[in-house]
Amino acid sequence: MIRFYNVYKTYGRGVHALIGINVQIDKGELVFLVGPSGAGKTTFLKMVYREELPTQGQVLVNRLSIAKLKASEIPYFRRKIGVVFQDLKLLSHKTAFENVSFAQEVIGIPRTEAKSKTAEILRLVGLGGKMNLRPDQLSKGEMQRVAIARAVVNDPLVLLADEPTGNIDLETSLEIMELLRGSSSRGTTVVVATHNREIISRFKGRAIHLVDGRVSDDGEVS
Amino acid sequence: MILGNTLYFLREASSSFRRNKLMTGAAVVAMALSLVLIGIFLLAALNLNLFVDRIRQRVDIVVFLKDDLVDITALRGALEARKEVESVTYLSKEEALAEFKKQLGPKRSWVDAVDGNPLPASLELRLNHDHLNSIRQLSSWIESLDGVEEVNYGQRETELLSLVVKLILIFDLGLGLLLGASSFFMVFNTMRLAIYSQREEIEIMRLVGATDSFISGPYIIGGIAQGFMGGAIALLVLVALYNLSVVAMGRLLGVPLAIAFLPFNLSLAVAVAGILLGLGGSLASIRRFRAS
Repeated sequence: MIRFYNVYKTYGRGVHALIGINVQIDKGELVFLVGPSGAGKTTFLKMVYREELPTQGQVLVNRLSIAKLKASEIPYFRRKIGVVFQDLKLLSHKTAFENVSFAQEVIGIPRTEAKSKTAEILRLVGLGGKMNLRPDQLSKGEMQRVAIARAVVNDPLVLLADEPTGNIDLETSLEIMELLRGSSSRGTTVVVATHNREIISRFKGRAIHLVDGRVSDDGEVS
Repeated sequence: MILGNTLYFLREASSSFRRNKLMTGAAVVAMALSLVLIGIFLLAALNLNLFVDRIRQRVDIVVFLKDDLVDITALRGALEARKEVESVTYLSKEEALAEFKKQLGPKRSWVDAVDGNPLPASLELRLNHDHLNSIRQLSSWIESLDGVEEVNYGQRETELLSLVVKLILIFDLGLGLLLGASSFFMVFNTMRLAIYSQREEIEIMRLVGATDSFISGPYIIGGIAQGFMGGAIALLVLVALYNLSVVAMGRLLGVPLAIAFLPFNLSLAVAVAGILLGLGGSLASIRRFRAS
């Protein structure tokens, strides 16, 4: 589903964010992207949803080379990828419900359909009773769930989560991780960037370690 | 799908209006004001032009004849043979004097004191309207004919008026460009602010896969709506000003005035100009954000 072929990313003059990355992630896999901040995790994710292009090398997502996508094709490409952003990017003046339905309406899903799907997905992430609250009325974990709901509501092929458990207590983090695992078990490829080793050790599974832009280790966490 | 999108655009555009009431209002008012000013000058030019046309229609060439001319028939025939000339009327010296006295009315006594008849006989030409523009050439040709003392026509006055009309139109065009540009920038700025205030929404829209045309839709609709409102307000103000001035001036002068309002196509042009300005302003602001 996701393939990186000898990918380099250099910002400006000589800031190397990624160096010679070779990675293959298959359909339905749940993969942790591990490493300290500045290791290149976010850059890696940004390439998967084509917010960044490699300076060198190839990135294929769902067999499409992201560098070859035309500008007009990018929106349609992104509809197959759900992203839980590090800063969540929830709209503060919209309710949880509106935040999720907004993401559907803007890609042309009819309002009634978007509404029923939003209600369903918010119940799934455990926010059935808080749909009409705004982000500032929700806890961090609940905001995280809204962001996840928004990312998965359009049934993406790939779900990317950038530090979804940052600043959240362990118990809530594990609940969040369960949601992501649920997505993966339904066939979605899930990539979770995190520096939370506790989570990784509890969950097990494949972890790709990034250090200074290089893959230092790629394998199952036992 | 298309209907759904349009409804969404309208909803978003109207909510953007409500959020940026002041800026949107200012842009609409500025545009209306610009279009009103342009319209006023258009009205002035239009009416002056009508006035000139009316004068032109009344203008005939008057050919004053030398007193020693004997063969009037030959000259008359030559004139009547011209395609520009519709009809020729002969006015003898005596008739000219009688006409002159009639015009003077009670002040005619001093004319009676003059010996003889100083007035020349004349041929009055009524021209074909299709050939009004060649009046100058025609006049100089007539002047070269035998027995012609002088040729008189209202050309100089109408030429001057035509020039004034042209100047007003040029001024109007310049003013239109200037005010049009300022309205354009007002809309451009309003839209840019709206886009800036919604940059988070726009970023999310792009990240979840909304197309550029979908993202731009509400702003384009908003620009068109602003332009339409500006144009419509301008037209209403122009109609009101027109009616007020016709009534006021008619009362002042004691006679009803024959001032015309902008014909339908020009009125439409004012409204369309507003819409185009609004559309242009929003498209330009969208281009900026797409580029970023």
